[in-house]
Amino acid sequence: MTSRLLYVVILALGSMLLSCNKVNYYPGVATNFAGTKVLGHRGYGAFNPDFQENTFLAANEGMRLLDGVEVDIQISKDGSIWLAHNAELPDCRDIKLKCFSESTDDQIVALDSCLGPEFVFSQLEPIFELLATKYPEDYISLDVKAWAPCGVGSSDILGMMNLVGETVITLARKYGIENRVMVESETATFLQFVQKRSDDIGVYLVSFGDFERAMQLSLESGFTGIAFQYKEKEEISHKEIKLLRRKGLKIQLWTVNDTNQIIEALSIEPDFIQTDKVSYFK
Amino acid sequence: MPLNKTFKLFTVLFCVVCRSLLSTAQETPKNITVGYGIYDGFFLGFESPGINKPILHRLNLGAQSNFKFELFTLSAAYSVSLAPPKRFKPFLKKDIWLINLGASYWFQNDKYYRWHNVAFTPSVEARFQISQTKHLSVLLGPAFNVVLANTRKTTEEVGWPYHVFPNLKLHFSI
Repeated sequence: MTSRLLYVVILALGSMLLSCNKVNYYPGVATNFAGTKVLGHRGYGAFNPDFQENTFLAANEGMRLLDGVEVDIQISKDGSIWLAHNAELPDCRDIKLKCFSESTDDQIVALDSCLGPEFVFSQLEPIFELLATKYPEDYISLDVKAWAPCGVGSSDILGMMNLVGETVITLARKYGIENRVMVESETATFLQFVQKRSDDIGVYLVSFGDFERAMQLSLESGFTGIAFQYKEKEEISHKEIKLLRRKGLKIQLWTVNDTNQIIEALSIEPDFIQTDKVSYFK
Repeated sequence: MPLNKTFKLFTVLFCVVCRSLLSTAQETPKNITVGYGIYDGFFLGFESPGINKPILHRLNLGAQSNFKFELFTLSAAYSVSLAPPKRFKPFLKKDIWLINLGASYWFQNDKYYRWHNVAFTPSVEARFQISQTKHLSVLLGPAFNVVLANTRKTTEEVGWPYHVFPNLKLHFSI
């Protein structure tokens, strides 16, 4: 009995060596900061009167003037990637399609024709080709949002998001631009799916304001970085960005539109800024 | 992540549990218990009712620090020890085994953060009778940790409590 008690006491004393810190602190990782890159939000800026957002023409102009673009993407029933912020499709006369994932490419093209020249739907592949051939140093960030299913056929949202990931990877490899393509999403499982299948495509966790938690989740999952909503719910400074960088993460700030905010954002040295105010950089 | 409604709700619930435990244990004998646990630190508390009853309630408050006092932890824990189901009795050679289910609120203040957490600690307990009134219990099991709130103190490090961590606890009851 005495020896048994002695073993127990020794075990307890030994466990004291483990017990002091139950918090996992992430190791530092050496990273390079190559300067802040400016991306045109939705191509050439949301609600810009010169170019419809999320179109080929907007992306071309954004890439011409800036360091790249950010666009929103959706997937059709045929598995093609289209540019659009919303998953739902507008009605036009007798064409009433519900959403991209329930519509074929031909139906989307027919809707495009019906809506006239003022409204255009663009596919992602021509933009990737543009990036590969005409803008060899630009970047593209693809915003992938989960959506409410508009029909039974598209109720497997996660499955369809993974299909988006697979298609993006296939296209990026086809044009040899994987290392200039980034995906951003609030859906961590989608980001993990892309991350497992491509070492070069950057995966960014979208955060609407909880910088601490976003940073911790990204470190835990091994993401490339976070896409942080700038000056909305939480302020961040150069110190936070330096800390994030010391841990091997990158940061995109969105959407930075006010002139003073652009100056301030540039001063804290994020890796990417998404802006609607393309004119500032002309 | 500031202190939030979850933390305040947990505090209220913990006080309710303590109050109900104290009121039900008023007429039953109580033992003072001291000991050490990975999530509790060095603690002092009480347990009731007696060792032969099928259910044993424990309540303890604890604290610990590292040698430089850079890391300081406070805890408040409640647990219940139960006899294992009868079907397992033939497999247990000695009548010293219990199942312990517990929860521990622990606060940690270190160089970089202040943490408010709850650890759920299911354990296997082995109880050794030392004398008529004294016994020693050893508890071993995983601790499942949930962060209630945290406050960053410096921008030097990034961390998060382990979601699952081994938990060892010694109770000495008199």
